[in-house]
Amino acid sequence: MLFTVGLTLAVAAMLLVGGYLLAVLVNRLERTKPWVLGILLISYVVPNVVGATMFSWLFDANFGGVVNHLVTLVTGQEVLWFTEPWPNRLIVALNTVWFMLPFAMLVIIAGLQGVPGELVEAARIDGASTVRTHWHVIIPSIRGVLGFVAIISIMDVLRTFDQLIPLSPQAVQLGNESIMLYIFNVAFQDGGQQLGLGSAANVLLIMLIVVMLFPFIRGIAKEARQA
Amino acid sequence: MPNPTTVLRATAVALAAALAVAACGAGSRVPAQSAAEVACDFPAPPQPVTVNVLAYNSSAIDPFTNTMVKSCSKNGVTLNHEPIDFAGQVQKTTATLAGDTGTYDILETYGFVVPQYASQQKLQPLDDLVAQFDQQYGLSEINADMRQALSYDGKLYGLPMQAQMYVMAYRKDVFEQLGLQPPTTFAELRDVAAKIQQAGEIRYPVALPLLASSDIATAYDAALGSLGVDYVDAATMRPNFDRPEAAQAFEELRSLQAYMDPQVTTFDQPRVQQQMYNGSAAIAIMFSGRMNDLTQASNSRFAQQFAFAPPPSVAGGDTLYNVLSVDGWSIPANAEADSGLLFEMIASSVSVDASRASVPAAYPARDGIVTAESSPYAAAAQQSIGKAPPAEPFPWTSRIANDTRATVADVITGAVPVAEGTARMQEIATQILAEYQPDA
Repeated sequence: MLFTVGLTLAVAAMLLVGGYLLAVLVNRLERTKPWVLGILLISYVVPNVVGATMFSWLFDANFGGVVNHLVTLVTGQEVLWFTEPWPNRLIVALNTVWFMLPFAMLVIIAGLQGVPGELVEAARIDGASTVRTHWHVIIPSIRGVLGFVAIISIMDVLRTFDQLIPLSPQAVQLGNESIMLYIFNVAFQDGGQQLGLGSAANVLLIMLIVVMLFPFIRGIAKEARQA
Repeated sequence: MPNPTTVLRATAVALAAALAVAACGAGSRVPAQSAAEVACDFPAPPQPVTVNVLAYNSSAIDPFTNTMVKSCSKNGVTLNHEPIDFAGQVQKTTATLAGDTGTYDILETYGFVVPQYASQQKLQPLDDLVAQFDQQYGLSEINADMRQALSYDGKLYGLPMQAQMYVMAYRKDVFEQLGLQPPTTFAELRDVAAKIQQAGEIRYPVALPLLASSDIATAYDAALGSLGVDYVDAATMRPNFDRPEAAQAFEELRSLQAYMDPQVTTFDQPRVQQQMYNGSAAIAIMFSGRMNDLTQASNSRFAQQFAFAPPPSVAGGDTLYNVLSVDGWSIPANAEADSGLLFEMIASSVSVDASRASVPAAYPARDGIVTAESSPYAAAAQQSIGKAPPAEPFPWTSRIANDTRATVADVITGAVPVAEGTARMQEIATQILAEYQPDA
């Protein structure tokens, strides 16, 4: 569970920060925006397990391993991406960010487009720097949207499963077994079918999702009451 | 500060390029179109029938599945078979057998799981149907040992289609260049591997499927079996993990690690194949069903350089480092379609013509179909099948293998000492066996 919760917190934070930065950059584009958006969405539309398999090849010398090769070239060390706990956690997190970032970006772009131009203009006339404009004007304006991105991200990452099959084949030994993978292993692994225990763990997962979403749901509900 | 637009464009191009590069690194492979059309002469059912077939895709299973689908989709009967991998088959088998009704009418099963499902009465016994259709489909020519492997408590629960056993593939060019002979024991394997390693071209000469979440339990079972020991002494219902051979099997497997990729515990059979295709390994031991792929020039530039031999024994005995796995067709107890109709379909897919058409990709269950000339690895497979450890056809076998798998992986990766690992396995197995004691 520690791995799942840690991964969820780290990835959700990266998605919020990275999604916001990317959304701000893409939102500034004009003629090329549809093309850039289209390309960025590739990782989101590719099925998880397919994308994760392709992602794993970037780190696997057996399949080309471009990133692996570059890392070895730069550091002079061979990183065991699939058998060392932290390098493995890193590629799982990177892959999760890689395929979920476009969604976060897309939702935040929609939020950014709803921020009144006069508000931003007023902040600039008052002498606010770019960072202060974002922090004190734009981000508070799209708080609800960011909350929505956080909710969806937390729900999705807590259910991490597909990408672990190609990216973490030794997940159990590395402590990188997500709750969903644990449930699968208990309920379906060859010769060990325990559907009852798997179902019980699934119910506990739903409770965990509710607990982790509670602050965001409460924030959105509060905002809705104030509106 | 660089222009954000330029940065963004460069990022987008880099992402797209990363996808393309990853895909290029993998290459592509198209499975052989091996479907034969054979006689499948069931009488037309009164109403249209849809039959769902669950069978994983591999070059050894596909010929039988494709033949069944192609030959029996007629007379108002439609056969559906969706492509699926082995893990997917395992998952869907569990799900479809869990309730009173299921999704699938015909299941691909194998000796490892048949006793468990049969003991839970989730599969239909096939003996009466075999007797009824014996003459029409020549079922008495199916190998008796393979029928035994898919039987439980004296009843047949799976109609054997093909067997798989470990075969050793090696690079004959490398062996000839260094004056080496195929190893017949693990000691010789270490010696040969050390010489290949010293030659400098191949850093990790040995490739075994030791995937920690699956194949590693089979590998340990093969090593233990080669030392003449079963998981459980069936007569006394006592686990054998406290015997010296249990520790020796670990030590022998661990002794090969110096010659294998440091990430070998993440390698399943396709990844081992990939190592051989790439030339990054010179010796591989895996199931015979994977060997035909090695001989395809479209898969590897070394295809003509691969030679085959029986796997070595662990410590020089008659029994090899080997596992005999028999695949077959079963009919779930909860299947709604007529059993006779379903049986005719599976019988047609293992008929003489269908079995002949499956060679060389598979090792069919019928006697006399495979000869030493059938394929480049047929002679090795024939030698291997005769020296495999005996099967353990008990409902507890698969449970013990599954529940001890993580410990096996921990010991082989060095996370847990051998003595602690075997003690833990003995405890796990004892707990499982307690559920099967007559007074439990």
